[in-house]
Amino acid sequence: METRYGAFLESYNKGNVYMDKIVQGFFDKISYDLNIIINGNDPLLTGKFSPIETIIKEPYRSSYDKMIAVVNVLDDVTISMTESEYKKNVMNIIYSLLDVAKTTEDSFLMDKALKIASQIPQILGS
Amino acid sequence: MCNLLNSFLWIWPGLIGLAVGLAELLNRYKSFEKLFNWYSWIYMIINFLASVLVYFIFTIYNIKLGEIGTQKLGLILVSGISAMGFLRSSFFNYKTSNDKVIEVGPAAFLNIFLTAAQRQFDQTLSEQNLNKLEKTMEGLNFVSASKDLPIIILSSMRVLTTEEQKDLSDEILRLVNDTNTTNDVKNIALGVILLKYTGMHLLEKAVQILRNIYKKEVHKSLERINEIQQQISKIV
Repeated sequence: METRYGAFLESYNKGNVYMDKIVQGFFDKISYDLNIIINGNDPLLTGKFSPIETIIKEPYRSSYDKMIAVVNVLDDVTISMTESEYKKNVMNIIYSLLDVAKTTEDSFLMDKALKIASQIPQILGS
Repeated sequence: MCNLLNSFLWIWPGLIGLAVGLAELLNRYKSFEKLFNWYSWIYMIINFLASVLVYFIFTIYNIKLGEIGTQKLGLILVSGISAMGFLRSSFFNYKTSNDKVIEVGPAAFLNIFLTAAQRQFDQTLSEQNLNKLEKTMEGLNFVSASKDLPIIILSSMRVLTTEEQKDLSDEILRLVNDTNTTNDVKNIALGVILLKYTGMHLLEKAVQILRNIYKKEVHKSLERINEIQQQISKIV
């Protein structure tokens, strides 16, 4: 449904070079940990993180859209890595996500990043 | 009474001219506020007088306008509308060596007053607005406000078309993507851009709402993010 601010938001997200740089920086930062997880031997984590690589490579999405898609994937991942040897790699990725949320102060990203990260203390306690 | 009305018939085409001039100014300024400066009045009076002049030319020289000219209403409409058309016409275009096209004719003359009115309007309004905007926008986080503030404003307004929303976005993005300007300056510029669509009262209200949201949510979230990052750093 077309909202009263839909056209503004679409145009804003597409043309936001500032956000592009931040998101690209985030993708660059997580690429090392992402590679380890995807090429690792935890099939559950590999399966869940693989879509991130696909999303990053998509040419037609705006950076912000890619970021949202990646966040949605991460939202579904953290609990499953409780016992994984790749815990640190996942945490590195979440740390970088928190950085993006902090830099942009984007309310959606902050909410999602906090929701994802709030599961970490439970993981650490286990 | 009837004679009196007949002798003042020339006022009506003049009013058509006045209304067209007013509509043109409103279209440029998007607001009645501070619209009526000296040049705006001169602009509207030129339109008024041109329509009256055409009316007198038609009546004094008894110019045949066909069937429509036999009715007073028809004569008034033709006078008013044709004067507006004449005033906005050009006799010819002159192209300079710099490839700049200069229109020669009444339109160019009228444009002098339109531009002067616009400049005076801008100067008067800008001075007043800048004083208020400095306080209103002070200390806002530009990165998030550049997106959140327009959303709050747009969601409360019904009249912005898709094109206007895109124009607004383009203007704001020029600020967002500029890396050579301080956030304080960007905040004021953001306020100036939004002001064109909102007026001062709505903008102040929207900023106040945004500040309350940031105070409650964003600051708390930022603190929490820092805490979690510290925890992660200890482990990783």
